[in-house]
Amino acid sequence: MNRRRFLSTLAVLPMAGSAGGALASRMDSVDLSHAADAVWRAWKEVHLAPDGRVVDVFQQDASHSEGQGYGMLLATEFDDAAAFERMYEWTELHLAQRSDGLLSWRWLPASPNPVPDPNNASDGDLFYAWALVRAAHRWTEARYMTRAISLAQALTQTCVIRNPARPNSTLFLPAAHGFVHDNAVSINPSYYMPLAMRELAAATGQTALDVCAADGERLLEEIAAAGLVPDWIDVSADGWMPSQRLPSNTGYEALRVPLFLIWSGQQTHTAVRNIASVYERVVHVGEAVPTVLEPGSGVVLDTSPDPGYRALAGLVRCAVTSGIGADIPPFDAKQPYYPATLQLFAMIAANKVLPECVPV
Amino acid sequence: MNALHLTPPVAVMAAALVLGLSLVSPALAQSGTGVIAIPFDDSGVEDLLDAPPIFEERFSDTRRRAEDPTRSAPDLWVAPLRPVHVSQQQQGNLWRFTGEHHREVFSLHVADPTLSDTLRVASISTVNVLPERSAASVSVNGTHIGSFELDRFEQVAATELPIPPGVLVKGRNEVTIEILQHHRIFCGPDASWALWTEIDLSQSGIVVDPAAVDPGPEGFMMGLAAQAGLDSGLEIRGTELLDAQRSAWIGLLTQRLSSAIGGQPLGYRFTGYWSVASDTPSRARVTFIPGPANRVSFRRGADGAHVMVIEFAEGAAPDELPGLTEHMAALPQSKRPQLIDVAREVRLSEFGFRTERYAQRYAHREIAFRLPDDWLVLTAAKARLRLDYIYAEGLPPGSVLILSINGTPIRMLPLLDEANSYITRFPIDFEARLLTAGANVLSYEMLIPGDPPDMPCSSSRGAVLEINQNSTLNVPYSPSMYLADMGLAFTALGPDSLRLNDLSHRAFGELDQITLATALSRATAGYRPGALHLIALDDMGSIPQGRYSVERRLLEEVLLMRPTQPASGQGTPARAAPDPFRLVGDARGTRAALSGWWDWFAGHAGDFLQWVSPRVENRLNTWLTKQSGQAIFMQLDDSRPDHIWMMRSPDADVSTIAAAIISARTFGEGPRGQVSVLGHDGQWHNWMAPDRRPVMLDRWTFSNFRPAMGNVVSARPITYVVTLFFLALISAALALRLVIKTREHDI
Repeated sequence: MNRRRFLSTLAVLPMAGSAGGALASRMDSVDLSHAADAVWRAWKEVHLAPDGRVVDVFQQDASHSEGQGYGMLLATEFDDAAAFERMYEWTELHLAQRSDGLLSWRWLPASPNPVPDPNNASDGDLFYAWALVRAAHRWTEARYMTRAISLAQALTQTCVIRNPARPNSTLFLPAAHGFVHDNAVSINPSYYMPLAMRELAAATGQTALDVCAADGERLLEEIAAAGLVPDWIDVSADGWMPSQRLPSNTGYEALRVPLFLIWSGQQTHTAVRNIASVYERVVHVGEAVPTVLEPGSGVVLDTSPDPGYRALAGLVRCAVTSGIGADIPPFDAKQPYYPATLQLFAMIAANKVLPECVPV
Repeated sequence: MNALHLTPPVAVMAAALVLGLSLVSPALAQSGTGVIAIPFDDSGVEDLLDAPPIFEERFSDTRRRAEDPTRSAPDLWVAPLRPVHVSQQQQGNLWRFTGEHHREVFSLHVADPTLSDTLRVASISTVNVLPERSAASVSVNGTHIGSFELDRFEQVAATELPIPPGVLVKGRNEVTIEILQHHRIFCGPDASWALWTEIDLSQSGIVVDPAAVDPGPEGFMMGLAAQAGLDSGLEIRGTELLDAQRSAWIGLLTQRLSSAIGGQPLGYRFTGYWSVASDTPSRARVTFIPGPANRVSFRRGADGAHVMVIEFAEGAAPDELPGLTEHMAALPQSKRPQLIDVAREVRLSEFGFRTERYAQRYAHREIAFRLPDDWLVLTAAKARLRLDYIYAEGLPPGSVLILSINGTPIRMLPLLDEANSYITRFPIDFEARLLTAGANVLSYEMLIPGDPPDMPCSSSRGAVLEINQNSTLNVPYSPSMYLADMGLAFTALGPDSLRLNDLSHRAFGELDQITLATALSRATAGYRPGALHLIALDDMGSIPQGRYSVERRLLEEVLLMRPTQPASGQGTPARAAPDPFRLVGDARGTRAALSGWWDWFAGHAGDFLQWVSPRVENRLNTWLTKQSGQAIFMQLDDSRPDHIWMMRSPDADVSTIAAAIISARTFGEGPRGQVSVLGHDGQWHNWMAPDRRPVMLDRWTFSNFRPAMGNVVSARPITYVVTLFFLALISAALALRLVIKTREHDI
């Protein structure tokens, strides 16, 4: 493990993305474990079961590797070792059923076979491993790092592949199985979380993840040049195109793209600016926030009143405009797991990268 | 973050694992940055198009879409009516209209007059109200917009009244609600007291779509009025970044908001930027954010709240903040009562009274005014009220008009004989010493018995009494004198008057201090502020007691012991159990009777001596044993006339105390004398030392000698009488002795 590089990456990445202008010098990041402890407690109360299972009530009470990874990452941010350990134990017990060490993507409590699909979800694995790295660092737990290393290796081996359109470049597969077709590869752009990939690479020595992060940012630039980033794309030798097999609107999946870019210090990325211009046009106080858009035209296809999506929009607009404060609503734990968790991510991203983007 | 320390064996194992796995990778691809493991094929993997339905769920574009029927778009909310002054008529969001006729004025802050064309009034009345003859009349900015019958008896129900175009204005509007109600069974003052209608202020106003309200100062005030009706208080974010200027900023802000919004004191919540939503969405909020310069702007928060964003330059004092004052103009009701001249007839209209006419059976009206702070009359000098009034003929026997000064009745005028003709300049002389320096209250009370009392009042009777604004009050001249009294210091208190010691925080938290400071910002005297020391119960020793000696135990009991409520049952009260000790005492016979006589004599002798030369600490302690309240204000040290020491009950709501302070400073009848207890009923109970000596603040001159000396003597008349009596006695004895001496013949 390249510990020195890991530490320097932690220190430098947020600063590199800090383009908030004069305000940034007046506002510093805060320790959210103190400043937003109430928010974390509210999230846990609604979305975290006592046994460490992150429950998505609106999805058949299911749990996902993504949710476990997200929850564990939040626990590291809020310095909650006990909650982290419960989530870790539950995940290892219920989702770590694959021989390669990756996690099955979903657990269904009401199903006779709670894990009907053993396939993994690489974003869940990525966040799970990233959370383990952060936990190992924060609480000095070597077993977390050991598990993170095995996950990183498995991810690198199974989900990092050569880009058929650009042999010197890589792609991040959504899962170990099912996304490589005869003439194309299906990719979910929102599975790219450059900061997570880089920190995981730095901590585990899996440099392929570092490369994959950079390639992902370039791929997202390419996609954004054509408009909004779709939920799914197909990449073939001819380049990328909206997926012919999977949903290709800019929807609930792709909402995470600008969030993860900003979190990774890429707030000037074209993908961020594109969606910011759409939000500027269609997001209004008191009205539901768009959650599904047509990528080319930006026409709104679906909306949601959940504050988490509004928080994303507020963060994105603040990142682009460098204004005073952000239109981020107070955290509402009653919203579903997904927007609730994204809202906490938006808070972390703002605090780390754009501390001037505090909610007004 | 903590540094990560892997144990050497684990590190070695990890390195070996990395190396081993890289060796067995299916393929290697070279890149500029390192070795990348890439699988060449995906053999044996089913294509997604062939996947069973359960796997397709993962890729559904609506998988993330959570349909929750309980979630809905934000509701419309009410821009509510806001009281302009503090009153005991208000309990929470309910404002009680009592008696047969009651009129109140409220503020209605409107960001845009086109937001709504209807006014909602939510009310409930006692079942005693006869709906056919009871109604509420509503005016907006002086224009009558409608009336409605008072027929809501079971629950609060709303009535919508159309607002004619052009009546509402942007900013503050004045809504007047006038209630006329009659008892359905009885008639007379008792029946009048049993009548009430409550308006739910939080549900009365204009219904607005929050999305339609543009951000701005008017929108913020509208949201602030709505926020004030919620239990959560006004959220103020980001104050922790204000550092050393925090108190100054908070003081300025809360005082501006308080004086601009009026009514009951606002509650506050200080939060960080990252907060959890409350059950009820915020309507207004203040957010501090660092900026290049001090600046105020208004915008809509993502949760729909109207937000006053205050940018502050690091270290800059808040008085450099432009924009706040013009946006947050103080209500005129926040001012002190009108100062009147002495030694001349002053019309009641000069201190705000307008001619009033009454058609009900009971009316009570208070008129506050203010005398100079150095005004003092302790003699038997008279003040004179000249009343212009008229009353109807045929009023039932017992109809009276009772006039009072500072709660003390000064004249009862029967409303008989001279009906239907204006009585002008009717002289009513009263003891000027009932008046005090500072705020005073002239009040009158009209009582017209029912005729008959056990039937509903007649509907044919019109006005029964009119009090004219040309009535005058003539207060006699006073030399510039001062009598030890906390009233002057109470008037002089300002928002910067709070004084804390190391233990104050035990009884007064930060929000308590802010609430008190905000209350003291209203009706300020405008001269050198006094000091209000906030004292914890366990820190009574820090209160200077001057020449008094107050028992700490008694002070504690005043604040800690709450009088038990009388039983609410209507049955016959239980017969008191016999007291065996009293029976034993009663049975002790002649000796006991003698002892009882002695006790009686000793007690009265003590009272006489107290009367001649009062020992005030005894009186004060005795008085304290009969008190119970939310707070005590004390000024026992004559040498510090501008200081007051305050203690609170641990159970007391500081907002209630603050409301009482505001009311007292605006309408008078506040703390006086040396010790004042704010009772649980919201009334001030004052103790004045009987041995206070007036202090001449002016130079003694020939012209002021007589009234000033009159005050000095009148302060302790018995002492002077007894002293003079003994002097006369001694003189007489000496004279007698001299006479006898000179008439003795030498033998």
